[in-house]
Amino acid sequence: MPDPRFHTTQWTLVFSAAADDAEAGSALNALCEKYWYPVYAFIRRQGHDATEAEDLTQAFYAKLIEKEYLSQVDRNRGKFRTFLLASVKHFLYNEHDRNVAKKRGGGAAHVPIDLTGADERYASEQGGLSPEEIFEKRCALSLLDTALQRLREEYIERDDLRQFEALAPLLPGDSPDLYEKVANDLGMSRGALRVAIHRMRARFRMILREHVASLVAASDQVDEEIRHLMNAVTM
Amino acid sequence: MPSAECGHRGSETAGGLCPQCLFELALKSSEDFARFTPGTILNDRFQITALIGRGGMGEVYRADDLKLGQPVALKFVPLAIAQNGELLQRLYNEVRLGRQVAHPNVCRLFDIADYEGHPFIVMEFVDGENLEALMQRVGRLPQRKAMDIAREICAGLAASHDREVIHGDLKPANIMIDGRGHARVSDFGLSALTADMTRRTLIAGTPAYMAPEQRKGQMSVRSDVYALGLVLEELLKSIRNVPSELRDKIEKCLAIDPANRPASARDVLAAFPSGDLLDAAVAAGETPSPDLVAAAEPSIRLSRRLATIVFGAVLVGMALVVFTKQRVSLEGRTSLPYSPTILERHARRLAGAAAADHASWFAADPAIRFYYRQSPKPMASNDPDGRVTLNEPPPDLPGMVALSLTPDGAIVPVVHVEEKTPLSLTVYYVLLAPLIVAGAFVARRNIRSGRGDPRGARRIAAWVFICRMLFWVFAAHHTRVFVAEFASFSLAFAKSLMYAAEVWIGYLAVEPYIRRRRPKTIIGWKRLLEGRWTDPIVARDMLLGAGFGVVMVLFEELRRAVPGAAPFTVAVPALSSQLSWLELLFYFQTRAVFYSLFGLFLLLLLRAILRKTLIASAVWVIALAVLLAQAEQKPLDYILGAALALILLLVLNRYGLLTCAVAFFWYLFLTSLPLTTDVHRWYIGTTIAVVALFAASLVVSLRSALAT
Repeated sequence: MPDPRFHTTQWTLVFSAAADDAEAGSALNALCEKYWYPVYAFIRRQGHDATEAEDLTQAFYAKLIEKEYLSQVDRNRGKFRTFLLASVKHFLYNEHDRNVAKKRGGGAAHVPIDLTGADERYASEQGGLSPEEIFEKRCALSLLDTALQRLREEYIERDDLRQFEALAPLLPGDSPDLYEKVANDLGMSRGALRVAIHRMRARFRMILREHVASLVAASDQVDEEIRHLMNAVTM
Repeated sequence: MPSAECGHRGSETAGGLCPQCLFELALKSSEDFARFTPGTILNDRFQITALIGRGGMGEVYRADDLKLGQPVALKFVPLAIAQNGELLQRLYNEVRLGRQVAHPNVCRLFDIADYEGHPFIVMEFVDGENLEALMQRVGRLPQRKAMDIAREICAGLAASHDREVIHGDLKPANIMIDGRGHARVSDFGLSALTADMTRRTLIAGTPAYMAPEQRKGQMSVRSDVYALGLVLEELLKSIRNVPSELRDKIEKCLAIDPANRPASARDVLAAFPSGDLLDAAVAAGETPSPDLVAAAEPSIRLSRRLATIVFGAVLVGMALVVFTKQRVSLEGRTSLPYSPTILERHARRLAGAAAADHASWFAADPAIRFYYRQSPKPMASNDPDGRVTLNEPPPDLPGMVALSLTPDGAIVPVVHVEEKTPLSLTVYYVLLAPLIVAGAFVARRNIRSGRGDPRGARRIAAWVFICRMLFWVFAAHHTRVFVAEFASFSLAFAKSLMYAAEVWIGYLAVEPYIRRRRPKTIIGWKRLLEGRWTDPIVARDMLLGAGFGVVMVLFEELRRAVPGAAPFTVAVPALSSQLSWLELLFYFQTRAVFYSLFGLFLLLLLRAILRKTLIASAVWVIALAVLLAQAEQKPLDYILGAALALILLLVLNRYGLLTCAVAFFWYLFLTSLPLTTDVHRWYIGTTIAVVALFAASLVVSLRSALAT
């Protein structure tokens, strides 16, 4: 029985499936739900207030469930990130011309997206970024969070949470002081620590790459997408 | 935190870590992730040279085994296996099984070791790329190469199936093509284990080469056969001339029900053309069995049309041989008015006294002379061939007479040439003993290891014995006195037996070497040894052998036809009797086979020592040219000797041992016979008999060659 946590390839499924494929639709939703915050942040940056943005985000996901955008999957570029952004823009553009409140009052199906804490999170966003920039940056960080979370879960599974917590600060790069401290904390020789960190980095690299690979159409887009995401976080 | 250590300016973190650094980590190439840098020594034994790959199995390094001084590949086991007791146990099992398989088309497993709690497998280092990469790179393999690789994959897998080792995950990515272009099946059991593991815990998709039953967790040799079928199909899909038997077999491999598939890779291997099997065996350094050799198809076949043309050409050549011989040989140029019977009667009259025993013969000393000896007692000769000569038996009895006549019957003084006393048997065996002992040692080893061909050796020894005894019948001097005749017979019997034993030992010692290195040269030979006289390949060899033999005789005659060259004297002794050709027939048969076998062995030996085929061939030709230049040793003799040697080399290389032996036989036989086109000459009978024999052998060969 495959572990549902590792269902990472749905974008490919969505991308290649016909628009009315039920499985593809639900896969798309599952995927999009993970990225609700970039969507929310994008909407906020468009000038909507917190309540409006919450409503719009919910409405957008309701549309998604109705598979409204599935047919617009960009078959040329084929990246999930681009698709999501294009879909939100499209959604907002159409929404302008309508009575948003009415539409909402009309009992549109609400999707259970938990937007708790969205406003507080948005409050700490730095100014000066365009809606697109903030969207991309949030996408990149969500991706990293997902990858880190998965790495952590793997360590938990092996009963090695303590090691994960101790080693994680060394994941991005070496730091001599920290090295000494971690070695002492874990009671490891420096050689063994080096091996352990190396393993962790290698695994993280794999997870992240796999994850990115699952969000683009072709495997040769992975490096390009990672570079793009890296630029997004430096803004 | 992100900024302090790495210098990145971002204000955001991911879980408290610098996001830029994390992305950079993901952008690093896999080589940067080598756990070990080149030079690292693991367990005081393996010095890492390079990271050569990273697969489903984990990292693979090239390393030097410092203890054994060999390159090895170290394959690190994924932690998911290393940390799972059950899987680790299975891994040990796979290594235990896998390392029993030793085959040139299998990448060998040596050991499993552990570095800081991380197990790694020590395996043979194969310098090359995997088949998947190769096929992606070159697109389509050349037909010959694809067939070779296909067969090698089968052979490697068959070797493991023989040991009941199942691969479990055969696919192009698990087949290495080494630097010499040979296939090596690798990762026996190991990648199956990984695949199994990833299937349990990770996505990994459906392995495309997996047999249907394997998805349900049932695995057997026949699951490998399914995967093999897919691999072969992929490899051979663009090839037009795949034998239909093989095509059918591959199709059977893909049966959904394992019971309908071939039982093992060995079964699939059998569907390859057997000539290819020989190539495979040679490439793999294996010794093909005599049966396999006999069953193989030689690469050069004679079409019916060509066979007929060769037949006609050889007959014409034979006529030319007889015609030329008359003109270049001493006997042809000399007037020989009297037959040996008449000359002998004449000599007896001249000798006068009654004799209990007499003998006569022709010799070229250097003009043709007729010798006659008589004795009051039976003449028991100690000559190696049992013949009576001027010195043997020693002319020491009162009443012994020796006469020398010119061909027209005039008495000339007997010149007592101090003949070279042949080596006594004792000296002969003292000289030969070390060779025989060494040969016996090798022969014994070959028999024990099952490489030898005892059946073939017995047959050829028996044949040598029979030939030698028949030679004695026709060549030796026979008397009516039982004691003398029995002594002569016993000696001949003992000597023939010794000779046969030597041949038996020599054949057991040398033949497997030839069979291993150049099995294709002995296909016809093996079939003849099996008694398949009418086999088309034997027929082809006989036909071509006769042709090349005739060409060689013509060369020899040409050498004598040059103005100023000494006349051809070799055939003079054969004038002694109308039946001399029979004696030579049996004598040269064994000689020709012996020389050819020895020549072939020498050629292979030279090749093994000198390493270069061209140099070895040159040395061989020069040595043979010197031998064939014979006594006269004029420059022209060397040139013609080299020409003959070149012909023999060509015949050996292209058409094999039997053709060479047949050519050599006809060359030796025909040069040693007095042949004439003049029907009034008294030795015309020899010509008729020999030409009839030659033609009969050709007709039989042609019939067999055309029978297919």
